Amino acid sequence: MASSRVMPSSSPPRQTGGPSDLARFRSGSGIGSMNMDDIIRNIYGPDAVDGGGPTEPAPAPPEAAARRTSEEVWKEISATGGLSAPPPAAASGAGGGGSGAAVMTLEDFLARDTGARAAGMEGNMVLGFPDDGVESAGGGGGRGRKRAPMDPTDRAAMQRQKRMIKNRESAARSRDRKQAYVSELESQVAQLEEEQAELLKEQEERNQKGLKELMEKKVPVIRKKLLQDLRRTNSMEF
Amino acid sequence: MQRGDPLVVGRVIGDVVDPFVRRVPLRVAYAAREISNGFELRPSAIAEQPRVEVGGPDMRTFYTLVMVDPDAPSPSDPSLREYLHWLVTDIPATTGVSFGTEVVCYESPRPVLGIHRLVFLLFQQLGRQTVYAPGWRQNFSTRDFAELYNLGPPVAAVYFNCQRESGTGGRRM
Repeated sequence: MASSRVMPSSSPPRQTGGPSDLARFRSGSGIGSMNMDDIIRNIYGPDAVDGGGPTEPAPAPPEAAARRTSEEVWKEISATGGLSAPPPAAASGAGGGGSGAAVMTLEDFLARDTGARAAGMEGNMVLGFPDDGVESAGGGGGRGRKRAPMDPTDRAAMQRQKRMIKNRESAARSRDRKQAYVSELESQVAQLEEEQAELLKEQEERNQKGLKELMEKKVPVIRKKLLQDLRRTNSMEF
Repeated sequence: MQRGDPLVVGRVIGDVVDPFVRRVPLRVAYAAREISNGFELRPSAIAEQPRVEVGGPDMRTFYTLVMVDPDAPSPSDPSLREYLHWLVTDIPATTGVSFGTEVVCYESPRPVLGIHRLVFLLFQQLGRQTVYAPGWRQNFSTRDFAELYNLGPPVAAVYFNCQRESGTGGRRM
């Protein structure tokens, strides 16, 4: 069975091949984001990611979390069994460390998920890692090869497939965008209609009130005036 | 088109934060043009930081404003999700961003590839608090940030779309 302590024995070859593998992997496509390890690697050099070693505790303080090996992350992920979506930070070409179901390694997951995409990385990873008991689907069969020598037709088909998937995702995003815009407009319209109804009602009420007040004020004024006039005419002296 | 929350339909809820209840009015305006969810602005319109007005009960409540781009560097391959464009804390309720503390200064978004969402999120602080700027802007996690500073779920959010100045992508409605 795979031990997570496999890491030390496989790490030296990995480090030398590291950056180029990642570059190749990245150009292949995006299995989500291989962010932290990648960036750390670029900034601090190829040693930084593995510098922490497999013995670093999992809940690391914020700065040290960046140096958490991708293997740690992969261990966590396979432990929780949440492998439905490609894990964001686990996608660098780390050595295996499956503690989840079966004897699955990161590379296997990638191979299973993306066909021959991971083929380029496998060559540098498996020294010291037992082959038996490890399942590999599809393009994962090419252990030990640096770059999969595919037929041109295969490659074209794969590229077409990738393109189609990308296009599909882009179309989906575009539809979401359009729908979100329309939803926002709809809610604005509803809000404005409400506001307008409210304002009209208020205006109507004010008009009514004004009219009523006007009516009440007019009649008493006229009456008073008449009485006063009458009184005045009566007060003349003869 | 059924009516849904634009934040859900636009996947802001999901990609950046979890579902939340809007509690506080948040108004963001670039040069007198108020942002509505899903509207589009070009980089030239958002070069300067916007005016931000925050509602809330009384001035003893403080808010944190986060502005991120979850589609960096490209929506089809968001390897730098999320890119932090602006971070302002200690904004008193009923005031604006100019009364807060700018922890990470406003960086004008300049998308190169694709159409990016730019999201403003407002969090309620428990009290005045010191917030440390992250080491770098890329790969910021709003969720982790909120957890780290005990901010809880957002109390308001708004987002808009942005593509490069000469881009031709977008709606053909």
